[in-house]
Amino acid sequence: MRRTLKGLATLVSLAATASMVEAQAAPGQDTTYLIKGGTVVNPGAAPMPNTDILIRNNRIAAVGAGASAANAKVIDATGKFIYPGMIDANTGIGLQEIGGIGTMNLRSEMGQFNPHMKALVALNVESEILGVTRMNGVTTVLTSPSGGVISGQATLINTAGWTWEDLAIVRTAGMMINLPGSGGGGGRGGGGGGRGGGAPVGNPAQLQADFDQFMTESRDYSAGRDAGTTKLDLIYEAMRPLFKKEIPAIIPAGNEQSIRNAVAFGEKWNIRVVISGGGEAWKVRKFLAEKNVPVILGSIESAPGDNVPYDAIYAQPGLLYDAGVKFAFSTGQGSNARHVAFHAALAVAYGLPLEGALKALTIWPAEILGADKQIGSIAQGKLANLFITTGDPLDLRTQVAEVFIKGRQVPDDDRHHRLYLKYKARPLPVIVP
Amino acid sequence: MRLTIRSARAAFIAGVLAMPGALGAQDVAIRNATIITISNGDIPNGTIVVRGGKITAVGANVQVPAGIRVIDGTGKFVMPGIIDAHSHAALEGGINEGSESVTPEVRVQVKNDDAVIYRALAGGVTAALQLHGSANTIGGQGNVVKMRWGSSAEDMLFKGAFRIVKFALGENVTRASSTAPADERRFPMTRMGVEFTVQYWFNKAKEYQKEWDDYRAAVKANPKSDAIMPRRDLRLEALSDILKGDLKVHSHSYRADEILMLIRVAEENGFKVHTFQHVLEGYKVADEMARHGAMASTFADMWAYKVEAWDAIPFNMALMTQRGVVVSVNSDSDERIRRLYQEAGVGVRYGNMAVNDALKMITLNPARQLGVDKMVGTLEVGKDGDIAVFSAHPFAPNAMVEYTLVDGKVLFDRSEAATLRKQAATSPGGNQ
Amino acid sequence: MVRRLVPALPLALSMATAAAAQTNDPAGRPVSKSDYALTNVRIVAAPGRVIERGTVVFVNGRITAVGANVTVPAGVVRMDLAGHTVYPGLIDAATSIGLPSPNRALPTPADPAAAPAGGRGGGGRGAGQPLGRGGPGVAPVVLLPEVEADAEAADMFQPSDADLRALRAGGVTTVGLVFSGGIFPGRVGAALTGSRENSRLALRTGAAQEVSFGTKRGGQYPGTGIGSVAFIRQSFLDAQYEARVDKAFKAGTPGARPSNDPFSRALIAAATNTIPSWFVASNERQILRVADIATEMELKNPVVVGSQEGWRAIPALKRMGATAVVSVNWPSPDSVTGRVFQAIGIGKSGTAPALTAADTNEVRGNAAALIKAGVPVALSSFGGASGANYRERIRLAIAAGLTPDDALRAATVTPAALLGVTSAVGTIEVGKLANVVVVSGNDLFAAGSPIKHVFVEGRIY
Repeated sequence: MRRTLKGLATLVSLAATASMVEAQAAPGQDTTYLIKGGTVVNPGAAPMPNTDILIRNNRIAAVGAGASAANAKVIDATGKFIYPGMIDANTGIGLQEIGGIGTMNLRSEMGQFNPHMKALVALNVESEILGVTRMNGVTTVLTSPSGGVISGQATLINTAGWTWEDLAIVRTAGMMINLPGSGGGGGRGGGGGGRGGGAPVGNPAQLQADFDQFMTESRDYSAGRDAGTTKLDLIYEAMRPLFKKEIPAIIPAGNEQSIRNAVAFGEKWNIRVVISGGGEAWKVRKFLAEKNVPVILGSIESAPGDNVPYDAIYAQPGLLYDAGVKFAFSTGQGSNARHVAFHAALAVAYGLPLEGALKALTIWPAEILGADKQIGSIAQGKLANLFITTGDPLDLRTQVAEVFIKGRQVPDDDRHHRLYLKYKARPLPVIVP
Repeated sequence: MRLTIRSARAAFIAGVLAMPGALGAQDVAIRNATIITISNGDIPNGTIVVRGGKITAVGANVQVPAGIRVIDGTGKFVMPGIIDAHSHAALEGGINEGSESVTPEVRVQVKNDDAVIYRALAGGVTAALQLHGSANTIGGQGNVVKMRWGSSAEDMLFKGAFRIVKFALGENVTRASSTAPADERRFPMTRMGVEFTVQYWFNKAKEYQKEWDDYRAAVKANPKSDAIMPRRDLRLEALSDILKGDLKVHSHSYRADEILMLIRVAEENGFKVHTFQHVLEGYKVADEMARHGAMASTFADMWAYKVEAWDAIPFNMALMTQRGVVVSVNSDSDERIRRLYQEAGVGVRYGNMAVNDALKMITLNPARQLGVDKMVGTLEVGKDGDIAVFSAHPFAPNAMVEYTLVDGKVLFDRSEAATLRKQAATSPGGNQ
Repeated sequence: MVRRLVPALPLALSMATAAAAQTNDPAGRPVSKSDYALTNVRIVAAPGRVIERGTVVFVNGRITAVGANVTVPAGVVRMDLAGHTVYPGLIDAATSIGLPSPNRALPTPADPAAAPAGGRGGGGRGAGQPLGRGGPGVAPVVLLPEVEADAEAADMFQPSDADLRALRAGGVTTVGLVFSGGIFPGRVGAALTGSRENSRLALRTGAAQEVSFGTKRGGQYPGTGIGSVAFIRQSFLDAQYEARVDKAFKAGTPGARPSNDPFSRALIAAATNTIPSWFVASNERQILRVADIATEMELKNPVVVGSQEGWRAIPALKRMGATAVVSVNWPSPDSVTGRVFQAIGIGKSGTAPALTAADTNEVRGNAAALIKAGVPVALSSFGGASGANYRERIRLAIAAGLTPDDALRAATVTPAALLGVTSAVGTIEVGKLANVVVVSGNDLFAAGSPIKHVFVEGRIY
C-alpha cells in the first residue's frame, strides 16, 4: 500500500525519487503482550531460562514471576532467547537515504558552528533504511548531523514509530563536535545559518581562533543565564546542556594524538567527552579508562592500514574491554546498521568476551547516551525494546523471530522483506517445449 | 623459478619459490577436527591428510603417516579454502582501461607482493578471480589466481582455470554520475546504448571469424595459395573466443531489465553469459537466469549506495539458489575479502539457507564458476590441499582463521603472525 | 639509415686544423684541436688487453697507433703520462639526457577541433570505434610523441654544455640515447659527448626500436598499464601484417593493399627483426611482461633497459635471449619486489626486519648476477643522473661482485656492439675514434682515482 511523501511534490527532483521511498506499514499497535517460556539474556547477567515478559503501555511491565495478564497476546518463546534491542551508536539514518543522490542526503548544514541544528526534527520516519534496520533486532540508533566544527545535536531514536516524536528516546543525546585541525571542521563552510564560519575552511589557525571564541562566548552565556543576567540567544542556548554536563560532546578522533586532544578539550572546557571512531584507542586505553572517557567505535568492517597487524581493527575492542574502557559499536552511515551484531562478532572472534559484546551492543551505548533508564536491558519499567531469536544474535545461523520496539510487535514489512516475499511467490515458469 | 640470491634470508625465500607446481608443497595432516567437506557432509573428529600438495585422505578413521607435520584440530573446523569470485585485489597497471567501451584485448596484471594477499589468507581465502573494472561494456580479461604468497606473479596463476572476460551493464558503464556535457562523454550513455554496443561488436566479431575461416579454407584447399594471412586483431579475436565458448563472460549487472537484456542478446548472438556479477536484482529474473545457465556471484547485502542498488535485498542469494541458480558470494573489496565467511553466513540469517548451501557459496560454487572445481572447492581425495582451519564454525561469533594452506603449504599461521595483542603487550596503553 | 661516422671536413676548417696541428705552444701545453701522443702510459686497450707502458697516438680525431714501441710522428702534442692509465672512453648504454620527453606538452592548436587525436597511432583504436568519442567530424591527425615510432633520438639530442661536462666527468665519451616515457617514443641512437668539430654529436641513428609501457595522454587508448601491453602487442601484429601485405603487394599478388599507415610502417623494421627492440623495464614483473611479448612476437635479441631487478627474473631474460642494459640507478632495497614477504612474512611478524648489507649487495650485485647466469650486460645510468656518480656506482657494483674486466666490458665493448658502433668506439684500436679517458693510478674504477683527461674524437677536455 503506497503513500507518497507529503508536502514535497513541489520539488521536482524529490518527486522523481519519491516513489522509491515507499510508506512503511503501521509500526505495530499498542497491545499488551506476554512473551512466554523463553530464555532472557541481559548484559552482565547469567541467562534466565523459562522467564516470561509482560509488555504493556510500551514498557516492560514485569519480568519473570508476576508476569501475567488476562488480556495479553501470548507469544510463545519456548526454546528461544530474548535479548535487549541492539543499538548502533552513530548513524545518519533518517537524514540520509541513497548515497549517490544529493537530495537524499541532507545531513550537513552550512556554517561551522551549528549547535542549534537538531537531527531529530528532520527525520524521515518512512526511511527504508530505518525499516530494514529493525528487522535484525537493532531497535535503537543514534542519528547525528555532520559537517562543520559543531555539527549539531545527535538524537537517540527507536527504529520504529509514528512520528519523530514517537521515535525519540533521548531527544538530544550528544553534541557532535569536530575539533579543528583534527581533520574535522570541514563541511560546506561559508556564512549562513551558523555563527562564525567567516573563516575559510582552508585557514586552520583562524578556524581554531573562531572556535575558541565561540566556546568562550557560549560558556559565558551559560553562566550568565544561570545568574539571570543574559538574554536568550537561541544559538548559544543550544550549548548550555554541554556546559551543564547534561550531554557529552561526541568528538571524532582516530589516532593517539587526536584522542588526547579531544580529552584535553573536554577538560579545558569542563564538559563531558565521548570519542567517536577511536581507530587507535588501544594505544591510550589505560588513559581512557582512567579518565572515564567512553568510545563509540567506528566500523569493525574496515581494513587496517599498511604497516599494522592484520587484525588491528578486529582485536581492538577486546583490548579496550580488558583495560576497562566503556565502548559501543557503530557501522557507518547506517544502510547496514542492522549488521551491528556482526561487527561485534568479529570483535568476539579476536578477543572480546561475548558478555562484553552484549554490553557494548546494549547497556553501554544506553549509558553513554543517557538512556539507561529507558533501554539497554530487559528490566521492569524500561521501554519494551527487545527481540526474540533462535540463538545468539551474533551467530549468523540464528534467526530473528520477533522484534518489539516500544512495546509494539514489528511486522515484516520493510523493503527487503516486501521484495523477498513478492519474488518468492513468483510462479515457477511453465516450460514450453 | 630458481633465483640466484645471496643472503640467508633470501635463501629461505628461494626455498619457498622452488619449482612451480610443487611450490614447496608440504605434507601436512590436521587431526581430530570437524571437517566440512562440502560435498559429503561434515565429519566430526575427522582427519585430513595432504601429501605432495594433494589431499590423500579425509575421514573419521584415517591413518596419519609418520614424519609429517600434524596440526591438532581438536575443537577446530576445517573447510575448503575460500574462493573469492570477484576481486580487484593485488593488481597493478590499472583496473579499468576506460578510454574506450570495448577492450577485451586487455588483461589485468597480478601484483604478487601486494599485502592484501596475505590478509586474504588470514581470512581463509586461497583463490580468487581478479577481474577488470566495470566501466566498460565489454572490459578486459581477468586472472584466476591462488593466493600463493611468496611466489612470482606467473606462479600465482591457477593453471587449468577458465579464461575469463568482464562485461558490465548499468550506471558504471554509462558513467551515469558524470556531469560533463554529452559531446565530451563516451558512448554509450544509456542502457539502450549498452545493448547496441554488444550487438555491434559481436557482429564485427563474426565478420572477423569469417575472414579467418575463409583464409584457412583457401590455404587448406591450395597450400600454395597466395592468400594473405589476415590481420590478427586482438580485440575481435577475444570476442571470437567468447563466441567459441573459450572465453567466459562474467557480467557486472544490477537491474533485472539489463540482466534479461544480456541473456537475450547472448542467445541471439550464440554465446552464453557464464556468470552475472553483483546481480543484485537477480532474484527477480532467477528463472530466466537458470534456464539460460547463467550463474551468479553477488554481494551479501550491499545496497543503498546508488540508485541501481536500491532494490537489493539480502535474501537475493537464497532466492536465486531456490530457483536453481548456482550462486557464489564475493567481496569486490580488499576489505571484505578478509571475512567472506561472514558474508556467506548472511545467506543463513536472511532466507534461511541451509548451512552447507551457504558455505558452498564460497567454496564449490565459485570453483565451478572459475572452472577449477575439479581441483578445489571441496575436501575430497585427489583435490588440492587448499584448506582453511577455523577456531569455531565459520558462522559462529568466535570464528577466526588459525591456519590457511595452499597446495598443502601453510601460508598463514595465526600463531606466527603479527597481531594487535602481541604489539599491545609491549605498549603501556598510555596512562602517562 | 646509418649515419656516416665521420663527416667530411669543410675545406676552410681543414686548413685551420692543419695550421693548428703544425703549431705547438712553446710551453708544450696542448692546443685544443691538436693531434696527440700519450706516452709512457699504461694502456688498457680492451678488457684483458693491457700494455704496461706504451704510447697512443691520435691524428685527426682517430687512433693511428697503439703499442709499447711506437714511433711518434712530428707535429703532435706529446703528453708524458707516467703514473697514469688510459682506457677506452666509457659508454653509458642508455640515457635520456638531452632528449625531449615524450610526455612533453604540445602546443595547443588554434582550432579546438584539431586537438591531438593520436590518429590511428597503432591498433587502429582512435578511429576504430564506430561511434568513437562524441563530437563533430574527424579531427586532423596530430602525431603524439608517445607513439612517434620513427623519431630518431640521435637527431633530437640537444644536451647543454653542463650535460656534456657531467657525462665526461664520469668518463663517458659515448652515450646510447633512450627516451624516457611514451610507448613507442622512437629509435635508439648513439652520440658522442664532445666533438672535434663542435658540430653534430650524433654518431648513429636507428640502432633499435624503443618500447616502453607508457600511456597516451588525454584519455586516449591506452590509458593504463594493462591497456599499454595490449596496445604494444597489437602494434607489433599490425606491423607484421603490414609487412606481409607489402611483400605481397610488391610481388604482385592481386588484391594486396598495404595501408601505408605511418605508424605501422615505422614499426616494420622492429617487428620483422631488421632492427632489435629495446624495452624499458625495471622490476621483475615488467621484465616478465617483456618476455611474454618478445616470445609471442618472435622478436630476436631484445634488450631490456633498466633491468634493476634483473637478478629476480633471470629465467625470463634467458627465455627471450635478451641482453640487459642494466641501470646503476638502483632502487632502494626496501622497494624491491618481494621485500614485503619478509615483513609480513610467510606467517612471520609485522614490520620488515632492518635492511642489512646483504640486501644492499643484492641490489648492487645485479649486473654480476646476470653475467654469472649467462645474460649479457651493458651498463647505463638510465633513469638517474650520469656524471661522476656513474663511475662511482660502477665501483660499488664491482665491490658487490662484478669483476673489473666484466665491468669494463659492460661499459665499453658490449654497449658498442648493442648500439652498432663497434667500428668507431669501445676499444683503443687503430682506426677507431680517439675516445679515451686517462686516470691517475692504474684503476679507472678505484676509489679516489681522479680523471686527468677525457678525449672525445681526439679533442681534449
